[in-house]
Amino acid sequence: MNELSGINQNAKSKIIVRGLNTYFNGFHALKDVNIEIPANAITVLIGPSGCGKSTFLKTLNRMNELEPGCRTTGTVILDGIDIFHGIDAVELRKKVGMVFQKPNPFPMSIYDNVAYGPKIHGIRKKTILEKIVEESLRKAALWNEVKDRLKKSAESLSGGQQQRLCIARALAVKPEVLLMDEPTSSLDPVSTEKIEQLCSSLKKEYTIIITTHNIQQAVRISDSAAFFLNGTIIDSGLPEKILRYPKDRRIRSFVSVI
Amino acid sequence: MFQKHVNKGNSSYKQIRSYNNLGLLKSLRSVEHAVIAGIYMKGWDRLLTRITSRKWERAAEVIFLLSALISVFSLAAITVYLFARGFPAIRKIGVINFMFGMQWNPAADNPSYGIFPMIYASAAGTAGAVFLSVPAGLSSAVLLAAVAPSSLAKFIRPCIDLLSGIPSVVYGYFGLTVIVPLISEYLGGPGNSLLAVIILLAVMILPTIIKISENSLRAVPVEIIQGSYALGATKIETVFKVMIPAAGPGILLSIVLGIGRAVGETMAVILVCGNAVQIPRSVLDMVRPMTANIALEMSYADPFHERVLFGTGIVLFMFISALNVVINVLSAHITGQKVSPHSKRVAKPAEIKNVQRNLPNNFLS
Amino acid sequence: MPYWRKYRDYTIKTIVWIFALAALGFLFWILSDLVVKGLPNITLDFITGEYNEYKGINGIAPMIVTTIWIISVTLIVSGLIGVFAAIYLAEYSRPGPIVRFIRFALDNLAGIPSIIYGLFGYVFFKNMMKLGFSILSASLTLTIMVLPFIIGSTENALREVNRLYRDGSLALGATKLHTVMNIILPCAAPRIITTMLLTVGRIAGETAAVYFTAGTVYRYPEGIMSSGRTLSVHIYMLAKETGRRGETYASALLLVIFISLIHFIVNAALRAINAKRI
Repeated sequence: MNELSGINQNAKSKIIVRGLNTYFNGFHALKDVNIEIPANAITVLIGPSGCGKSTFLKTLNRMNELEPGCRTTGTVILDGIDIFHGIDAVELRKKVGMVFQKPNPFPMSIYDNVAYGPKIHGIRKKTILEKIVEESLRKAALWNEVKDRLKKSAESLSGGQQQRLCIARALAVKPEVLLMDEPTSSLDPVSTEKIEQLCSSLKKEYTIIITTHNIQQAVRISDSAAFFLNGTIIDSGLPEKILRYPKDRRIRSFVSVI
Repeated sequence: MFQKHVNKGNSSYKQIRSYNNLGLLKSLRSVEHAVIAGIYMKGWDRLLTRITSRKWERAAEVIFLLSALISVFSLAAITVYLFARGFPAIRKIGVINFMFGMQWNPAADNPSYGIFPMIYASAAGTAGAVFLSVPAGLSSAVLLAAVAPSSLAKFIRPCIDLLSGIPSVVYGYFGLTVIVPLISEYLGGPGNSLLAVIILLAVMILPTIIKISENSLRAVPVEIIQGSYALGATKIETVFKVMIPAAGPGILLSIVLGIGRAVGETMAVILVCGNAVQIPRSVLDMVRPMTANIALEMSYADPFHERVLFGTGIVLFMFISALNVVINVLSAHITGQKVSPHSKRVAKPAEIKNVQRNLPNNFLS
Repeated sequence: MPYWRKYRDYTIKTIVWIFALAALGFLFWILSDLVVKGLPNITLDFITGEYNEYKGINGIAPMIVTTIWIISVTLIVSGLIGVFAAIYLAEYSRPGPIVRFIRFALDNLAGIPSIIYGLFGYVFFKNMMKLGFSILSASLTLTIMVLPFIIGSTENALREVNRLYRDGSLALGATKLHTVMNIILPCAAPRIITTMLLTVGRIAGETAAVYFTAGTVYRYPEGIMSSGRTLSVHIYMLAKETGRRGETYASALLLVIFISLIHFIVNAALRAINAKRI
């Protein structure tokens, strides 16, 4: 842990990122990113598309490594552990769950979708699995809608329900951090509102990081925000401060355009 | 499959259901669901949690790699065994005497092993088959891709698949009992002849030519086609002046693949060729292609004779390998082509290559 | 439009139709010939009886059994190897010399005529490995022959599985192997099964490679090591003799019916799968 001694872990920070650089086959996607993500809060990463916010999100659970030609330098510390050297990628992904832009339930039943995670991590007892499934679906505010048709195909759900199912599926492996990559961008306003409410209720137990390009949404739900542009964070802090009254000219133009 | 996305999914699903009202389709879809569900049954994933523990991860990758390498080993083994068996015999006879010798008389006291008449027969049979098959095949491809109403095309396509699925020995028997007597009756001669070989091979390579040409014609970007219409060209003019030139490499590929199949064809040819080793003076004379020679004499060949037959196999193999080089160059060219995402019912380049590699019955000789 | 252009279009269109109809006509000619001459000779005794040219019994049951044996053994061996190899190519491989080698080998194997496979099986499996004329020799030879088709087609099926499922599974902390076995393979299963069906058709129709490796003995096979005569080899053996038209036609018709059935099922299945994918 010598290399980390220079970084003081703030009691309230869940994740500390220092000097993070990511390259794809020579393309410099993230340039010297530094940020602290507060625990039990919603952090919103905002910026135009292609600015690197999704890449950054995928660095946090090391999903980028699956892309050919990806190279990462720098340090990301989660609860005092260096995620690149101190933990195995599969272990890390168990701790850091992820929800994708497009709802991607597996082509199986609702029950199997939620039970998939616990099962692969070795839980085989049916009673325990059932408990986890119910608990996760309750947390994702989906239990009342699907409790009678757990054996039905997940593809029969509506888009918003599918996205909440994906959240339940991520919760079922009991993560500490939840990454959400534009979780509402393919949903209608009503479903979006439900997901937003859900996020606010989940932050008591989880540290949530959401990317979005919707300023209103960012202001509505976030406790802290960071603005990405061309692979770097150009401002971060309280969402009110950086989005309502932006100091930076570039943020101001983005906010006014939207 | 399953790329249906939720938001759009439901409506397009309904559309398809109204489109295909076949009960069979529905039941097949439920079979498909059952298959997935069956595979994801409790027993299977319980077994897998045990097997897919972390220490198996590496072992599995090695097993997958070894399975993939079996193809490499097989190709190497085939090449090595063929050459190890056949080449010493060719050396002993002399390459020139072997390839260009006119006499094939392995049973004589002073045996001679010249296979030129067989090389000639293989080449003549293939050339004739291509000559007959290309116009018919290309016409059928044009018909399917542009001229025929789509309901008719939907009926014809499975028929062509079926044509490619008929085993070559069945073609051979049909040739023997129907085509050979017809030739003998109307054109004279024994009937077993180069002509019978040509007709049979032409029919057998038709599906290859039709399928791959049709796919290439479909892959022509719709912008080019519309551009031609916009200039006032008729449909037929567009097909012949724009689509066929644009699909050129694919059509060429289909012909080369057809050649490969015709050269390697054995069982159909054996039954109709007459098996006389001679340079035919007309298409009504009997011939014996290389493949027929191997299959006919293998069962009673003495050791040296057997090695010479492997030598015949080497000549065949070299020819096919040369064709493969051409095929790979052509399909690399096709795969490299850009296909417009806007074109309607595009066969992706990958699909064309796939058809090439996976054509059912590609070597059902 | 000048009248000659209309006239020319019309002529070319007619020629295209004539050629295409000729091609199709040939198919129907073959099929009708088979049905007319074969159907009257298909009887229960014919299908269930044994064959002995000296006793004058003309059944094909032993040939059907041998064919089924060879299909099953080949399918098990080639299915396992083929699917594993396809998993490697679709999920594990990184661009490099190894993958180039594999693809080169597959492309070349796909073009080799079956008579060459027969020769190879004859020297390698029958003589070198001392398997003799047997179902095992034939099945191993056929395995190499059908591998390029199985691998190519399965690899495509695996690649067509939605990427989002893969990411979703990996993000839950599943290992690659787990994702492949639990998500990707089940999703690709319908396509893989149609591939296997087509392979069955191909094996059933194969003659040259089997003739050199399984032999031509017309008795019931006792196991994987006994030699036997498949239906297609039987047709070839009968075709060489005269005076056996009826049974040859009947055997050929049965084989073609079997293969057509497979094609029909595969076509319907692929249509259902594609309809779902749109």
